[in-house]
Amino acid sequence: MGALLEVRNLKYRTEEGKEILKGVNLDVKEGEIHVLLGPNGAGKSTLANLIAGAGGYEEPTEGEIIFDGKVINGKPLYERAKMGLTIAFQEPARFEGITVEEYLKLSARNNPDADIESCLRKVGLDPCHYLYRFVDDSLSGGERKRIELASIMCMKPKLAVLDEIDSGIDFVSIDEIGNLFKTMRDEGTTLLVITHRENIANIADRASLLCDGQIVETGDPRKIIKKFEKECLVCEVQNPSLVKEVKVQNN
Amino acid sequence: MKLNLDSRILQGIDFLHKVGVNIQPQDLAFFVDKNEILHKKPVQGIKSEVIPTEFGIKMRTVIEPGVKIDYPVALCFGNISHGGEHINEQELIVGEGAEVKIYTFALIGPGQTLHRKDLVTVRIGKNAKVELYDIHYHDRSADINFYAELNAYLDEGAYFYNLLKVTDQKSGKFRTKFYGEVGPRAVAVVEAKMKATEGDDVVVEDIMKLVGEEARGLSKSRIIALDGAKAEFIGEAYGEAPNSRCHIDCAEVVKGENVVLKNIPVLVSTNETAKLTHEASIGKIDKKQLETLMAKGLTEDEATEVVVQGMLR
Ligand SMILES: Nc1ncnc2c1ncn2[C@@H]1O[C@H](COP(=O)(O)OP(=O)(O)OP(=O)(O)O)[C@@H](O)[C@H]1O
Ligand SMILES: [Mg+2]
Repeated sequence: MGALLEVRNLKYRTEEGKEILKGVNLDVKEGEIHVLLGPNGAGKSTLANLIAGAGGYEEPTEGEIIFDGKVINGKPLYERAKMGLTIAFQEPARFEGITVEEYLKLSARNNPDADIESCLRKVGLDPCHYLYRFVDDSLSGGERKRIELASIMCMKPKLAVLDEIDSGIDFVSIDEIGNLFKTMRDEGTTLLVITHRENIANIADRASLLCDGQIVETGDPRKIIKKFEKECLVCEVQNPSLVKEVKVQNN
Repeated sequence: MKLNLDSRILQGIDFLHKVGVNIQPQDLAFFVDKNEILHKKPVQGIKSEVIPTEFGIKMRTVIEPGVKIDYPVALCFGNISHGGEHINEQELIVGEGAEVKIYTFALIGPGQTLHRKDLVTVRIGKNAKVELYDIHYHDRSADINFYAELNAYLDEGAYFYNLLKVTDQKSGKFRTKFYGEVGPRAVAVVEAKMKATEGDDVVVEDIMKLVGEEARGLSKSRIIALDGAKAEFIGEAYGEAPNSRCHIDCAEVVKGENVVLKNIPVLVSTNETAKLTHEASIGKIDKKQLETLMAKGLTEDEATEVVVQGMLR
């Protein structure tokens, strides 16, 4: 299948002039689970926010983001969401006075077929105990993340960017969350999953490795995990040999 | 008993429905239009005396020790056809171990010009439990100058919860002052939810005095200030007794322009084992909250409305 999301030579420089993304090229094919790996500070969340149009990252410094055949640079977050592109933030917000049920209903407002209770059950939360809880500080970090995942299932977007949705979730078996991703994919949601967990990366159809603001390699997840472990984990922030390799490739 | 269906009662019920209180005339125990009593129904377990005065009423309510009233008591204090100078004095005395939940509704009808004072004193006996909900409807066309004072005295082990809600059309010039003296192992929780719109001037003042060992106090305020509104919060906690605790939590949120917000915390500890904390935020709605909702396809305005409605709930 063709690419649902195409990121072309994407650069992002902060106002202070710090280069965070240095020409990212990435294709996410329709119907795949695509995992994005990379060390802390590589620029994964920055890329995710640019793709979604969130966090003040609506407009890249350079390059193009194409979703469903349309250039979406500069489009506000909610318009992208209406086109079927959404994001689950690394730290989703909490809300006073909004129940889980209301939150999921808001997420499902353009998906009349959504079954809120079944989405909750799928993320391991019993609707009897959670529907009337507030999405506020009383939820644990893991519960909040599970609810975010349920909200994405209720929304059923074409593409969901999940920024470390698995962190803080103590799924009894990590296979559970992997299976959940597969279910979402099979029900029509393409996933771009940012994670540090190898087991999650293992269930992906393809993976990419982001290092120092550039995609170093895309391909078979097992191969990418190996590269990540062998080269990135050695140096947590930047791997000089990798950076050199990237420079060679670019020249 | 035949219900007195004075049209003003029906109008009051209509206002309550507008502010989301789903109540019927037969649920009301008392309805007064300034100083004109339109309805009074005896409630088992409650002794209540009401004296109309030139500018309002004086009400004294007593709940005997051990009496538990297991359904909410609803009282309406309206300005439906009478405005002007208005003084509403109430005293509530709750005996040891008694329990009650009271709703008081302040209903201000269209076109009223009003200078109103609600002066309420609550005395809560040992281990008694009182919940007091004060919900307002202020018609947009009314000219309102309102002062609401609530003094609560909690005996040992007593529990008091108060919610003040002025969240519908307008607040007017509205000042509320809570003063609580919290005895040993007693708990006082006061919440204020206010919406200030153009031309409104809202002041919320909470004073918690922790006078008994292990007394607990929580003051929580949520104030939404729209274009051209003024809002001020003053939170004072006095930790006078050993191991007493008080937390003041105030969020004032701006939506629009030309808004003036003030937040003044005062924490005074005279006992080294007392713990007083204060948490305040002033400013726009949290961007992260808006974005989390906008990622679901809500526009910024829709997301703002959801966050605001949630805070004022
Ligand atoms: N506004 C900013 N100003 C300056 N530096 C920034 C800004 N935003 C991000 N950065 C820096 O850019 C780099 C990439 O950040 P980003 O959050 O995208 O990393 P990440 O790959 O998601 O890391 P993690 O795995 O820790 O979540 C980091 O070094 C970060 O400190
Ligand atoms: Mg990140």
